[in-house]
Amino acid sequence: MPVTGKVTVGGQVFNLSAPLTLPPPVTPGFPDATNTGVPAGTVLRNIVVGNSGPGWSAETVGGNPVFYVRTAGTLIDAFNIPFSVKVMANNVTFKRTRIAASGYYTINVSDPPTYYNGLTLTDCEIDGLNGTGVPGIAVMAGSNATYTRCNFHGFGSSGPRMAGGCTLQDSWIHGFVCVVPEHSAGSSANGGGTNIRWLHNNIDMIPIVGPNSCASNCISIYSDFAPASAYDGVQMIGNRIRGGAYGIYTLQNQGAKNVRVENNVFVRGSFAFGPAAQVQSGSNGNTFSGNTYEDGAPIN
Amino acid sequence: MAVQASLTVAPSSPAHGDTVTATYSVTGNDPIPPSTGTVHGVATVGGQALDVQTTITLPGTPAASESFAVPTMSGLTFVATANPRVFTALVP
Repeated sequence: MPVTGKVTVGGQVFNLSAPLTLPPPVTPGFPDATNTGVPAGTVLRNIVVGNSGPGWSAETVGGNPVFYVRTAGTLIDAFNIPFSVKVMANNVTFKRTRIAASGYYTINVSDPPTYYNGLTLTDCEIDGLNGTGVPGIAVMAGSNATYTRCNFHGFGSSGPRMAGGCTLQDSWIHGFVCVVPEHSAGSSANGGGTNIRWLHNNIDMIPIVGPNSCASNCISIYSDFAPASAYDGVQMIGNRIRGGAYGIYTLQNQGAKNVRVENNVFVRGSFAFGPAAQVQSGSNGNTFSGNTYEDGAPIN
Repeated sequence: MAVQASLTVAPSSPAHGDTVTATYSVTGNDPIPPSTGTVHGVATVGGQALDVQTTITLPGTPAASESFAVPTMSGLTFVATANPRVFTALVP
């Protein structure tokens, strides 16, 4: 369906149109087991050490199995990978794939000092196996990553970490473990960036293992490795937020710019202190609007 | 030069949460500057034909006024920007 418009020059009228393809409508309700992860009926290839294919190989390194991707643009489709993944190339895509491993990073996108960008996960399940030995993180932060309709669970520290150009959408983050005194976040950015987006996710930080005292938030931007002002263009829109000291940390009152917190649904009573922290709508292009509790009561 | 107009939208395949920008463009609507010319004539005096001439400056023509309607598309709400040719919409 095109965009239509009209220009009048003197008395002359021009009726105009331009093509535009909108994304599919978001799933009604919020993401859950029915619409995230590997689609039902998908036949997965079970990967074992020694397997390899175009751009990838399953190897043993230091006594541990690792699934390596070393070729840019590699597509992994319909795999069951029962160990950690190391991506050492840009623009790698995983589709309809289950990755299950405990450890610091289930998916690592670095070969220090090099970090790789453009990772895409679509219809994937990333399982931290409820590991309590180390605080697990689902995916290391890399720029321009896109995570769509994924099911992240079983982690102790964080779901996917975000950086500039990253989008997490239509995904389900849940089933965390809490090992006191660890702190956890559903998904966070820690080093600044532009165009970081959390869109229509269901993030539940009430743990399934351990006490309910680890979760700092469901979504956050932190100034761990860059000042708050290094964030310019962040969208936290249309998410379901349950659990945490605060549901969302916004850095709006710390100098972050164009942080839009809109139309999120917060689960009442699930936060130690409140639904959102560091809010300062109206400054630096920041917004906090349309946010409600599940019963529709507005949050201002 | 004939007047032409066009409309472009970018990005053409946005994702949820993207801002799309619709931009009108008009070409050929240029002002015409004043121009000078010569008027020739003949005056006959006592049977003698005399060629005469004078110069004249014709007025210019300003560019025609332009107006730009708010673009429309089902599911999107475009809003004006500081540039009257540019409109933006957030993809829900």
